Amino acid sequence: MVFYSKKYDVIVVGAGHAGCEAALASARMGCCVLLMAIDLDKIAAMPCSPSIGGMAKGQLVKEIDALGGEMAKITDKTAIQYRILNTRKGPAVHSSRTQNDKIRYHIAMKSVLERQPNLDIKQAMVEQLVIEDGKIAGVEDHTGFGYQAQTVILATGTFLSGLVHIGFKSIRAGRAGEFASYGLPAHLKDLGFQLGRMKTGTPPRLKRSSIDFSKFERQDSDQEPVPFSFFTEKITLPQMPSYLGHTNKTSQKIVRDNLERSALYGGMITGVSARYCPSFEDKVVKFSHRENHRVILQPEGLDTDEIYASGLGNSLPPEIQIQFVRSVKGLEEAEIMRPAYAIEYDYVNPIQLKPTLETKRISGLFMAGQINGTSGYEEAGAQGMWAGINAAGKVQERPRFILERYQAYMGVMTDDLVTRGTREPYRMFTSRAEYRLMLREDNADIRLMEKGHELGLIDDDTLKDMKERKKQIDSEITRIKGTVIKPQKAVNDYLESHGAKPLSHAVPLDQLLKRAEMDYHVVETLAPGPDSVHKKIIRQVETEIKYEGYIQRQLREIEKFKNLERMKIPENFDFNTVHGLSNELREKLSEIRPASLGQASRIDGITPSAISVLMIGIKGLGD
Amino acid sequence: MTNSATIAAIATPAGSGGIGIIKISGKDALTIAASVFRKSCGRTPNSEPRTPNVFESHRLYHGYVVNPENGRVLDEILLAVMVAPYSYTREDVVEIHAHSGPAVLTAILNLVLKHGARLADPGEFTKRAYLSGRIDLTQAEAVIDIINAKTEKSLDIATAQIRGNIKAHIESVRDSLFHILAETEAAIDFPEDVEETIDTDSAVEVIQNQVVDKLNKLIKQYENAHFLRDGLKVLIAGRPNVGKSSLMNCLLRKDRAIVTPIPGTTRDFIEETLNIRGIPVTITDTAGLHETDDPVEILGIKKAYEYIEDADLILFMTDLSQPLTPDDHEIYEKISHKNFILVANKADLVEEKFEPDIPDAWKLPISPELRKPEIIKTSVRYDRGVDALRDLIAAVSMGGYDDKNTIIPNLRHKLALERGLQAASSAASGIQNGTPFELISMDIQESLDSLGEILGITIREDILDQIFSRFCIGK
Repeated sequence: MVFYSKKYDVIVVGAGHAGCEAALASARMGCCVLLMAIDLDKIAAMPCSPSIGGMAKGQLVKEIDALGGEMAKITDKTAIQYRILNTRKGPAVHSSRTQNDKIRYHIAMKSVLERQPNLDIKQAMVEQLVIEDGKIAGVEDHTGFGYQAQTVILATGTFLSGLVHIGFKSIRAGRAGEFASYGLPAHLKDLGFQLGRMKTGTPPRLKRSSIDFSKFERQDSDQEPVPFSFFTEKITLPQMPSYLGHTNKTSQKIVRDNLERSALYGGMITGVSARYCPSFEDKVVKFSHRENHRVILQPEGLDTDEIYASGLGNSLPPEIQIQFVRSVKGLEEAEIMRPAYAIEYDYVNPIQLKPTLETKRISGLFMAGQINGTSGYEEAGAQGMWAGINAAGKVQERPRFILERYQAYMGVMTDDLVTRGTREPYRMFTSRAEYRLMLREDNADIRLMEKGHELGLIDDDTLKDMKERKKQIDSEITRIKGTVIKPQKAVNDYLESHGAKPLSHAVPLDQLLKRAEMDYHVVETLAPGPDSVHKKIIRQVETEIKYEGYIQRQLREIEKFKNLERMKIPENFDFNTVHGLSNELREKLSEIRPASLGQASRIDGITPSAISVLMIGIKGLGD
Repeated sequence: MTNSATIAAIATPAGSGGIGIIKISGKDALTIAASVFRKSCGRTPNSEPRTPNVFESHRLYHGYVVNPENGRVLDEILLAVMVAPYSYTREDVVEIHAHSGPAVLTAILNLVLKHGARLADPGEFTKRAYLSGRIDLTQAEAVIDIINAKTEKSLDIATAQIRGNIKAHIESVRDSLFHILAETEAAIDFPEDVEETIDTDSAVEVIQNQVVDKLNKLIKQYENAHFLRDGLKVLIAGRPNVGKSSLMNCLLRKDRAIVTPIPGTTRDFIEETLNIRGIPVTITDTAGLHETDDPVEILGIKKAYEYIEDADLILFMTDLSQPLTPDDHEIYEKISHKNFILVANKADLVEEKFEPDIPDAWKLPISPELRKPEIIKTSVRYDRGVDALRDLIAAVSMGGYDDKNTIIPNLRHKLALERGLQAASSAASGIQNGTPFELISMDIQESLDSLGEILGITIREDILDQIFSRFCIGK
């Protein structure tokens, strides 16, 4: 094989949301990086919803941002609609979501990559890995040309043995109209990796001018859009609305009558699909009692007439898709520009990975994104960043980069993946995070910027600003706790006018703020700070005080968590030598190879006495 | 080894023996000891608590275990103090050497748990000894077997004790909680797919009826049946000269109490521990309860009524050969809220078929299953009917005679039930007060975790399974 003369530290295969963050993180940490993609016009493409964020995903994007990643910045540059979800609930579960101009998103990300020093970008399809002595040494492309590197990150998305289905028509493709990769998955199997198969899909795109929007309910951007990135000062693009409508009995009937003609129910598909993102066929079958389902029409960009018809995803043949789409009120005349389709692809069950996302099998080989069985741009971006940092860290002999479950959603996700694996496409949900109250969008900077700074991904000034904000928050909390409010008439008048019980005796101000019906306004009214407190920190001050008791509880749980987490299991530990473990657990532990007792405790089927026994086994080895 | 929790357990085998030991290990061991121990001051406890730092290592202290909340003395004890690292676990260790009645030991343990210790897991002291390097691997492997064996054994015991029923009860409570958790979590994670709010009234009602009430019932059953493990406190009550002391003697088969036909001679209470059908029973004879002007007797009678409150079971004795007297009725009024068995004595003085005129409320409910009599007729003098009484005492201590499905949780279960109850109640009041869902979820999850401990569930079930099967989610 002929090798390119240049030797890289890190090669990233695939330039989707995982690949882009991985390449940028490694390059910014000073590594010499090569980013390879099958089609450079598809860098950071949004093949499904033209949207970033959403529940728990918004938190992931903020975390990427706080570590010095790119996703939030590009999102702000290209967003045409902002909404914060769950504003009626507490701040821990507020999540930001945008609609984005997908072409602008692609161009903005491509230009950031192109301007990044230490980063080469090449169009090529990787067919083989180059392995020497069980360690990764580079890749070989479809022409047989080789590239050498110390580490390789596979971020291949849905391209491994990708198969697109429309009705009974199946096309080998990584996305509609794009080459799929069949060489690489076969090669991975030869190397001993266990591959599984998943299914996802995307709804049809409709022509704006063929839609009667008067039959839909308009959903506008938030009045005062809040930027995603801590670095964004201003939102520049004009904002566009989405439109909400519903399917009906006729839609239901059309799909039910033609179920066996769909790829999904016609026996074409073996991959496991996500329950949270059902194809319309699934909605009809599994929730047959529901007559209508939501349809949300989302703009795909400022300069295009294409409309993303969320909720109409299916795998039916074109003629049925047309009937089905037109059954919706307001879509009677709709023209489909791109049909909906289902896609199956191979993934590598992530229990084959270490917590750094490096494979256990081949040293220096990392995997990130959909190849690990996840779904979503945000999940991919977060893993890309994680793998990029760790690949660079491996080259530079830095300690491994791990965020714990109580530090970030990223930590929850990677721990879930490598400890428990996944059978259906894995999406982030807030309910997956046991320390949810700590992992908020509003404190992502405080949680993670220092770590980003240590990695060289966050500059000194940004860190200084964050520390200043943190100081302000702490001093404002101290001030509020130290301020005593007396039951004077003005105070009680204020309380009563806000539906709150008047005071009978003096109380510290934080007690008032803790009341359900009170917010920071009570502080501003009854005891404003010496100089005006920065608007950015008000929300955090309020949250820290209102949540205080519950946060204390989570902190206690975190202490317990840390105890087990601190007890490391040596990498070569032989679980078969542990006296008193059942064979089943020995096998499971040997396969997953948990790095700590904490991780072991989260494996299905592990009992407290098994952990005791393991603790003794490890200690015996250490002495 | 960093183990934050301080653990405690009864270290001596259950059952009789002269001394019982409660062992406490961990960083708070001395503090806990200081708060429940009072050094002796003459023959009474010193009123001042000690501070933890005055204990010297490897010394024995004579004194009392006192509940600091009410000043009640639980037992006269010896306290052994071993300061880290010179102890079995290499942590601070305190041993309380008490009198070995199971009830006393349990009371002391409960007090220690209340002051910050956690109930030790099976084999945990030894595990800590190993982890701190105090014992070697061979010994440790023996510990593993103990851990495994004890877990199995306690499972066996649990299964036998509760006839598999506590599991079903806890599972149904957890199902109800899980159902509500799915609603709050779905509302949080899928605000656009499901209703953003839940039906407050019905959620609160479910928690109250399906969770709080059921847990309360289980806890109450523990409290009712604690004598199964701790021994049964039985009190003999009745007006003078109905044969109380004779009964006591008969049960003990020895002449301990002074038996005389003159009313009111038993003024000091006589307490004896005996074994009835395998159950440890502490039996107390009281003064005859009747109207009197004698100040000494009044004192004794007052004391007897206090004892009634403490007793698990009262043997209410009457005289079959005489009609019921106002004193009998008076006594009934004082004991009617307790578990009691009516023992109609002096059966030898009446015809065998004689049916006494006794109010129905005084009789036991008839259980066809157990074929228990409504009242016990005895002739203590001729040792007649006393065996039947023994059977009945045993039946009562096994959790009642009217419900063969009574579930009896153990102490570990009960502690978990109480935590589960508290968290569930907090969730219910949160729902009523409009607390944000993410906080309500925490309470429900805590309740689920506590109850899960009883079933041995350590990993949280996937709430997403529940959500996806109930709600149509997705774009």
